[in-house]
Formats: sequence, structure tokens, C-alpha cells
Amino acid sequence: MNTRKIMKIAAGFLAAFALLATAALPATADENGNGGDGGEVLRIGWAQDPQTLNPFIGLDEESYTIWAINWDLLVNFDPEDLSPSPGIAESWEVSDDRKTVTFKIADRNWSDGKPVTSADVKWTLETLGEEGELFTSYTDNVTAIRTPDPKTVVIETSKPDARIVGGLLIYILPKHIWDKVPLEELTTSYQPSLPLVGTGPYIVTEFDRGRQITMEQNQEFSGPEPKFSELQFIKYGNQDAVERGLQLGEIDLVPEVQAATFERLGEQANVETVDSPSPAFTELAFNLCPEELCPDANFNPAIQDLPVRQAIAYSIDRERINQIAASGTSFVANGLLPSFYKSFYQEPDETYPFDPEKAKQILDEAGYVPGDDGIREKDGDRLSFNLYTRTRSESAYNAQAAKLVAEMARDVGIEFNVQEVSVDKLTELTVRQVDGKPAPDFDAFIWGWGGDAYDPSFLLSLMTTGEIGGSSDAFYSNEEYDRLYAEQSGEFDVEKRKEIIARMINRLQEDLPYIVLTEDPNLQAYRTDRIANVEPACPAEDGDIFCEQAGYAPLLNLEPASGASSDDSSGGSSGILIAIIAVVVLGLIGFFVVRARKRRDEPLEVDEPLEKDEES
Amino acid sequence: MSGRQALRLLVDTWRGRFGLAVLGLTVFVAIFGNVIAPYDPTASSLDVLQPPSFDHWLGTTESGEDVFSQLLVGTRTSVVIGFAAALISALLGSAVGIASGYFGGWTDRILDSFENWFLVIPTLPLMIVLARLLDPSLWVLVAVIGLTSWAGTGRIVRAQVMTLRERAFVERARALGASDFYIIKTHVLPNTLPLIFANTVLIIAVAILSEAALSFLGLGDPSRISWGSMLENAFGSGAPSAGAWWYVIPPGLCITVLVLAVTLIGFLYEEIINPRLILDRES
Repeated sequence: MNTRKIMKIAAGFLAAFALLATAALPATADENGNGGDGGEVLRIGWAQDPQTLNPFIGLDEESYTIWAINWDLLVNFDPEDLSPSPGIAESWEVSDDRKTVTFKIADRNWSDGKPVTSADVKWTLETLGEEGELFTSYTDNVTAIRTPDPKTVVIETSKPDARIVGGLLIYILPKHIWDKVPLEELTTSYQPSLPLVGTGPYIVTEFDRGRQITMEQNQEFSGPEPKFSELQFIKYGNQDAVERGLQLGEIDLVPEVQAATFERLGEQANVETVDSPSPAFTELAFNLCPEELCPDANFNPAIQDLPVRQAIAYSIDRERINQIAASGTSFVANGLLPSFYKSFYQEPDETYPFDPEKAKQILDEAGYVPGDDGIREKDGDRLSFNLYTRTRSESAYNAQAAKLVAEMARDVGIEFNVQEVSVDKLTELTVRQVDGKPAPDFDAFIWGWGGDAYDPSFLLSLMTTGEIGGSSDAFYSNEEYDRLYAEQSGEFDVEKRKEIIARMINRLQEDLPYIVLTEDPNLQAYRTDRIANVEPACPAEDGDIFCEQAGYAPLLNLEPASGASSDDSSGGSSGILIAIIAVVVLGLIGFFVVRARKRRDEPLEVDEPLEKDEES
Repeated sequence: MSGRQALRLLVDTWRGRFGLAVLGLTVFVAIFGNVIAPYDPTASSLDVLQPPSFDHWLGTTESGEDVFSQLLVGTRTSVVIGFAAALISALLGSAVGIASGYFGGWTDRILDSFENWFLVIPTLPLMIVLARLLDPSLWVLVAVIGLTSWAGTGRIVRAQVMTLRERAFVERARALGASDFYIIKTHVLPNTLPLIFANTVLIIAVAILSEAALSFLGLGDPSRISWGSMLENAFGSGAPSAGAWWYVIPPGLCITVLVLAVTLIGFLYEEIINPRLILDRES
């Protein structure tokens, strides 16, 4: 279970990063804060809202968005370049062996006026880091957390771990509130009471599940005063309605826009779109779980035959998927590591360019010959696979990509039966266990991952044997890869690490546990007549509006647009509305004409009732 | 009323002509749609969500498929489901109705309460539940719709059979030693058939609408194009807010017009078997 949550978290993280980009220039904002007297409400629209605000059990990326505003991390991310910047800790010192880090806690207060102490940090890292569904992986290497005094925290790790500073994505909670609740309740049903005591610029004061979350300014916040007095997160239920809401001026900001509507939204009056790179991708994954690890796995064994996967890779035109399913907003991916990681990315040796002839040739050589229906088979093994994907309402892009993959693979004689399932169902299929052993129940699926923007380790870990039963969903296992993974995580020299990572990626491109289809940017939109001073953040220059799950810093820079007016312009969909009304009216007219005409029809001859015919 | 007169009623009235023309055209397209379609209805192209043009008479979908071709090919699904489901419902409804109306007593009580149960349960939620439980396919959809829409027919047939049972000619036959089966076959069935037929025609309309509703909710046969699934795709891909009227209106209009045609024919048939309807309105 932890796996998927982590994935979701990561995805959320990415999205957050994109958003932050806009807010990245706080200093400038302070200078020309015209009209920033805090009377305005910033309204953010989304399709789904968090199920809970309890970080022990919350899984949605929407939860992260709220948490990241309500609370701080021990060490925050600098929206400029995602480097470590003061959070709960104002400074830190790393020991020479890199195994001990001493943090100095900043002089800050919780929103209820109590001071933030080292006890809060220790309690959170130990409790949330041990028990929180989504947070356990970050403290894997931590051996001890000591609190010599209320303003000092010492963290010791078993081996050097770069995540302790600048990668410990665990929101620090107020111990004096949370430790009153029994752990058992925290990890099951606990719903935090409001206002949600925190250290961020805004705290949740109202959570109307299914409708709206209201966050008001935290009077104890130590940083610069935010320009908006209040945040409202409004749930619309579906993405289309969210974007409509933005056009109509009901909301000011959409943190996640669909690829299909991105361009159109940008053409609307007073709407600006932001397209920021993110370490997220969409992949076609295969079930490679070896017999000894997953004795009860359920799949078509042909999928584990390498030539079949190679042929699939050559049969897929990734640019076409990008053009049709992602409306050209994504980028063709080459291998597991997104080019987002500029310091580590290197094009792999094998990129599988679109080449259906080569795909056919590989299958011919491997002995798969087309049957009567064009689907290839060998010794009765038909190349017919199930292909799961999320439903269209959950990801229009994934569902459409699955359809295209099936269409293209069909051309070389491989059949994919696309099945759209809910995220819950898809999770169930991939994490299924029988007798305590993984027993994945699929041949292939299309889904996505988002990495941590500051480090590629998370994405690379997906293919390690150690993650089978954890985050791994292709159930790939390769000794060389595992060894290289361990090697790169301990390598602090960027060039050397890049070399190792390149070897890992080449390994994967040969074995093809995933065919990574596209790298997906984060797409956002906001109203220019409502929000000013939007600067890309996380990282600066090409990041997004605010670093959604990574922190709140960019949010502080956003300010109400000076000319904020209700100059609503309803866009292009009025045409269709008129057309629909016209059809309905025509239908009604037709109906009455029919009725009217009826009266003028000639009187019809009338027979005797049927029964009498018989009776006579 | 003779068959010739019934036909005259169909051909001579505006409603009848309209109904027959639409139905005829629809059946023709249902049979030959795959041949007429200018494109493979599921072939994607890079012309995504394009408005109608010379190449694509009704524009393209979110995957660049030809809407016109989808409309033609999807006709078959709607027609097959409409007719097959109505047939099931007619068979089931008349069997239950005749049995319970003719035999009365305990048979009637049991069948009638069963029927009441189906009448009272809201059909659409029941269909949704059934369609969810079973793997969606064309015949599952037919069965689901057929099995949930027979109760009305059953009730009408039962009432008719109950009056027939007491008629003199039936009693005469019984006095002469005719078996129940013989009486049902030669006296009861022929006299209820027009009623069953009129009802079935109306159920076709209900079945077509139900198929569209279920497909629109994503419970249709995913491997088949139907008008309902086209609407689902259009809605799911945000076509309405993209202003892609060519993707939304054609399937919606087809459903409306076909249902209208079938309903008009159904009403005419009701008038044929119950001429008082005509008299009432004509006078």
C-alpha cells in the first residue's frame, strides 16, 4: 500500500514544484506590493479535494498541497533552485563523516501561540516518520534523534544520507496537540480539529469536505505577511468544470490543467497559462515478476519474453501519443530518467524510435507468426495482453494513450485489451499479494510517476529488487542494477554519479520493464486580472506558480492584481449551449406540429373491438 | 381492424410516414453502416477535434477519429440493443402476463408480486447495478435492459388475459374439453398479440434510451461504438466546453429522432388496437 501513496505524493510534489515557480521572487514582491493590504481572497479550483487532513492517513496529492501551506518542513526548499533553506530549523551543521546533522530550531511560534521546540521535531520525525503511510521511506537511515535542548535537534544516520538536509519531506506537527491522540486513532480515523495549528502563512480554518477548504492568515507567521488575506480551495468534481470556473472568473488559479484544454484556456481573456517542466512521466509498464518472487502472479507469460517487449517498443510512436493524447504538451521520453534532471540526464544508447517494420522483424525472428485474426502467436501463446489504465475521469491522457498504444501494437500483430479501471482497482492489481508474496495481476498498464524534484533517487529506486513488495510495479529484478543503485546513492560527485545512472538507464532500456512514453510537464493557469506578481518558482525561470507540495514560499509573493475587477468574459462554449437549446426548441416545435397535424388527419375507419371478432 | 387498415394508418398519417422512414433508414444504416462509413471509426489521426470539413463531414473526435463514421457504425449497437432487449422484454412480459392472468390463484399471486417488485424498483439504478456486476458486453446490456423492462408489458397483458378468460368463447372452448395450452394458443394469444406488439414497440424506445444512458455512464460494451458511448467520449474529453458541437449533437439528435420515430409508431399501434383513442381526439 505504501507504494502507491508514495507515488501519489511524489506526483503531488512535482505539481507543487511547478506552482511554486511563480511565487519565487519574494523580495521583489515586497518592494512593489501595491495594494497588498490583505483584503483579497485567493480562490484555487481543483477537481478533487483531500479525503482527510490527517497526514498519517492522507494519500491524495491534494492533501499535500494543504499540508505544505499549513506546516513547514524541518528544512524547506528554496523556490529559486530547490536548495535547502530555513524552515523549522534556521541553521544546521553536518558532521565530517556526514552521518550526524545538528539543527538549530528557529525562534517561531505555532499558530496557537506556543513556541516551536525540538520536541515537536523529534516527535514528528519519530511518529509520522514511522507510522505515516507516505512518510516512512524518508527516515530509513535514521538511527537516532536527540534533543539536547529545546532549540537543538541532532539526527544521526547509519550512512551518509543527503536527504536529511533538503530532502526530508515530513511536515513538522505540533506535538502538544497531536500526541494527545492515541497512535491507533492517528493511523486510522483521526480527523484533526480546526483551526489546524501550524507554522505556515495560512492555516486551515474550515474544511467542508466535498466543497471547500478555507485557509486564513496565521497571525503568528514569522515571515512576510501574505498579500491575500485568505485562501479558498474549491472542489468542482471534474476537471472540465474547474477550467470553466476559471474562465468565468469564479476562481483565480488552477494548479492542474488538462493537456487537452491547456492551449484553449490560454487563449481566454485574462487567463495566463504556465507550462513548467516536472520530473513526471507516463509509462507503459510490464509485469516482469520472476516466478520465484511471485509464484501466484497472474499474467500472460509472453510479456516476459524480451523480443515481445522490444517489438512493442518499436511499434509505439511516442510522438503521436504526445500529439494526440497530450495535445503536444508533453515530450517524448527516452528511458526512465526524465530530462528534467539536467545534471544527470543523458540520452540512453537505445531509444527505440518508431519502426513498425523492425518490430515485425523482431517478432518474426522470435518465431511469432500472425494467426487468422492477425494476432501473432507461437506454440499457442497468443500475443494478447490486458492493458490497464486509469479511467478517463481520473486521467484523460492515460486512457487515450492506452487506446493509441493498442491501436499501434495491433499493426504489428500484438493485441492489447484496454481496460479502464479506477486508481483503487489499479492499485489493487499491482499490489495484490497471495500468502504474503507479491502476486501482481496484470500484463501491462499505463500509469505515471512523479519524482522528487531535487533528486532522481526516488525514480531510480522503482526498479530495484528491494522495492518489490514496495514501490516497484514492474517487479523488475536485476543484480547489476541493484548494485549500481546502491553505488550512485552514495556517490556525491555529480559527474561520476551521472555515469553510474547512465549505465543503470541503459540496463533498463535493454530489459524494458517500462516503456516510458512521455515526460509530462505541469500545466497550470491563473487569472491575470486577479493575481499579479506571478514568477516561476521551484525552480525559478521555468517552474510553476507556487511549489504546491514543496512549500509555501512562492505563495507569499502572489498579490491581488491592482485592476482586480469582475470583468467576466464567458468564452467559446456559449455556442454549443445555443445549439443545444436550438435543438431542444426544434424538438418541442416538432412535437407540437405533430400533435396539431394529427387533428387534421382524416378520420380513420374504426373496426369493432377485437374480442367481438372472435366472439361472433 | 384488418392488417391492411393498420398499414393504411401507418402510411396515411404524417406520424406513421415519419416513423417508418426513420426506422427504415436506421435499420438500413445498422446493416450497412460498416460498409458506408468513409473511415475506420476507431482509427486515430492527428486531426484532433476538428470541426466539420469536406474530409470529415461531421468533424473529428478527441483522438482524431471521424465522427460521421462513428455515427454510422454506432447505429448498429443502438438498433440491435433496442430490438433485442424489447424482444426479451416482450417474451418475458407476455409469458408472465398470460400465465398469471389465465391461471389466476396462487400462480397469479406469486407472479404478480414478482411483477410488482419489478414495477416498483426504479429501473435505471437497477440496470446500473446489474451492468456493474456483470462484465459489460453487448448481450449483457441486452439482457440487463430486457430483464428490467418487462414488468409493464406483463401487467397490461395480465389485465387483458383476465378479461379474455371470462369471455364466452373461451368458456365454450373449455366446455368442449380444450386444454389450457390449446385455449392460450388459439384464443388468448392471438387476442393479446396486438397489445403486446404495441407495447414492445414502445419498449424499443425505452431500450434505446437505456442503452444510451448506460453507455454514457461508462457501463456499455467498451469494444463497441454506440451513440451513447460517443456521447460519453465527447463529454469525457471535454468536447462541450471546447465548443465541439459536431461531436455532441449528432449522436444526441440520432437518439432523439429514432426514439421519436419508434414512439410515434407505438402510439399509432395503440390507436389501432384501441380505436377509442382516435375517436376521442378526432371528435
